[in-house]
Amino acid sequence: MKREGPIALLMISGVLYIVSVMLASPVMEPVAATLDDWYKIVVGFINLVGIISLTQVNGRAVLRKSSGWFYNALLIVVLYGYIILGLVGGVGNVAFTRIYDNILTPILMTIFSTLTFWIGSAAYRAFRAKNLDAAILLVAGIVVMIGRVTLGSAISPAIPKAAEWILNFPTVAGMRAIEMGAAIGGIVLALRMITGLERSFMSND
Amino acid sequence: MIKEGMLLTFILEVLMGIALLVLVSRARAGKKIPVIHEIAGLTALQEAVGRATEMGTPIMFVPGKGDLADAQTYAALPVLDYVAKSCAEYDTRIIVPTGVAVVHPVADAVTRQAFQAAGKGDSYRETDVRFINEQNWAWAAGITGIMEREKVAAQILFGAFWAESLFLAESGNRAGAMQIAGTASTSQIPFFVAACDYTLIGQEIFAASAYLNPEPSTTGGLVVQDWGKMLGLALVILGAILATFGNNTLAEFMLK
Amino acid sequence: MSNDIWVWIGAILTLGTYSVLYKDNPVYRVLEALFVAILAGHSVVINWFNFQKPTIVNRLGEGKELIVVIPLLLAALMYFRYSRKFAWLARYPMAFLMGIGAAYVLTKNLKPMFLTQARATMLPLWVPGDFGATINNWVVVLGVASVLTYFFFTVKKTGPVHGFSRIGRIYLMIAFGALFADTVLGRVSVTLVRFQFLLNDWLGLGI
Repeated sequence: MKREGPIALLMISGVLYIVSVMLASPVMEPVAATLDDWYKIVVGFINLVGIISLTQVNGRAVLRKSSGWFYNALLIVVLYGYIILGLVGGVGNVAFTRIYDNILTPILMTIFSTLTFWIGSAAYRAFRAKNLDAAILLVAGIVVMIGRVTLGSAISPAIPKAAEWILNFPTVAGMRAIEMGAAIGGIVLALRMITGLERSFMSND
Repeated sequence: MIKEGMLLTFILEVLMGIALLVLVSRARAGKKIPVIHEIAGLTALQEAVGRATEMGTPIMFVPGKGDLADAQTYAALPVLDYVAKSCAEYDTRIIVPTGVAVVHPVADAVTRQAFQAAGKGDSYRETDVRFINEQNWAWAAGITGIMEREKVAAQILFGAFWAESLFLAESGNRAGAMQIAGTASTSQIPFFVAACDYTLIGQEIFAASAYLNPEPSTTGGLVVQDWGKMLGLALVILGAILATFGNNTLAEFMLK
Repeated sequence: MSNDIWVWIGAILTLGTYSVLYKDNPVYRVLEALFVAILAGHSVVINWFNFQKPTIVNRLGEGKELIVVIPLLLAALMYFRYSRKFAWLARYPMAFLMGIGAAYVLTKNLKPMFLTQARATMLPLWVPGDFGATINNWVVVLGVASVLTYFFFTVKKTGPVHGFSRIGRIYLMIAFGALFADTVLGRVSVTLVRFQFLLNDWLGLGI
């Protein structure tokens, strides 16, 4: 029951869902909706697993006085303080929304904006490689980059057109084939799970 | 009766399922297993573990931000299993930062099981498979923090990623970590290609389990994957030829 | 300069976060801890009010939908993972989620990701009177076919297969370069918004 039970549950729930989605049967239709609902409920109620892990990792660092334990302690205090604030005061309370809008949002937006700097260093490294692949990548990248800003059309109206063409034809073709292959890859993996061929996700003990 | 719009999906998946079962049973009976092309990024996994072992610093395995309804998450798990086993064998630490609560217990189970399989169950550190955050940027910020402070020797990014992909990969570069990535998230592949030492592109991540653990089920699956792509190729070429002569029968059939 | 305390806090947080671009430092570490903690706490509170509470109070509490006890019990089993003796019970909710997850892949992916993409590539290879469209269609059909060939894992890549898959590799590099560049501009605009906040809202320079 420790291993076979879960595998049986995986197969039964999966097959039941597939049948109820694919068959045009008024009897089966509500089954898919019910399973969808159950999936959401299970996911929604096991979210505390994450918070427990966060507490364990940071709590242990504090108890062991690991290097930088102050930051771990701060994290725990703010985490639980904010949870209590929200649960007691409700999501609409001023302190709860102020902290989110005026403390969290600036940090979030700034972290997101650091991508600009990372893009520069990544591009430098990628384009530095001296092989044909990198050269092709570089040329396509430069044409699109220049073609998308006003500088491109100032140099020549052909550049924005070339950029559009690269994005609409060769790029679309490449991405389309990747997506088709990935779809098949995912489907074969899912088939292996549903048929019980893939069992490695269930512990052996 | 199959629901309208589901017919072709049903037919193709049943055919793939049958092909899979036949191939697996043939392989189990000792029939020839096809040669799999080398995928550089997967060969490099051992190099990453070796590097971490030599340096005496951890490996970071990031299993993406997909949930359990995302095939990429399942593609990442056998790679995690493989890397964790190697780490256990060489007594190298592996840190697995998760960003989806439902994936966390699965990643934990896979890593723990890998340590047990390597006979190093006692060395498994539960707090090394750690949940960071459900929000992408908080998850990414937490990972880069670990990378910086734990002096990670190698970062392995496998699974579904969103805009945070470049943030993760570039932080890895700054920390001087060797980096191997694999994703089928099409919009993020360019960033991994630019920033990582090795990148598995698209469907290559679904070939990983057959490459790392060649047995009937995985290699059989790989052959079916190739057949699926061949079918795609045939459909595209045939469809284009028919369209040239003004015939859209095949294109219309795709919607069945 | 702004007189608004919240603008000042926003500016300090922005500069503190940017400080990581130089190197890891105590200010950034404090901000990182705040960031992770607030977002994690936020998700717990939002999940409680928007999902968990209504499920328990409205659906189960009023006794209208007793059936939701089943998924709730299944979710509860997950918490046995903290018991050494009964940790195996946690595999049941995992198995259920994996079963439905695999079923989602099988029912939702093939059509949009494969069939529709193949259909969109079934383009006429000769468009009378429109040489440009003919070329473009060739580019797309050739690209999809060659990239698919590039990803064959169990076929020997010799002779024409090798050549064709090499074309696929070139397509991929063009696509990656183009997508990389296309995304750059979007990212730069986010950074400009941050700089505008610092220069205009905070320092009042009116740039």
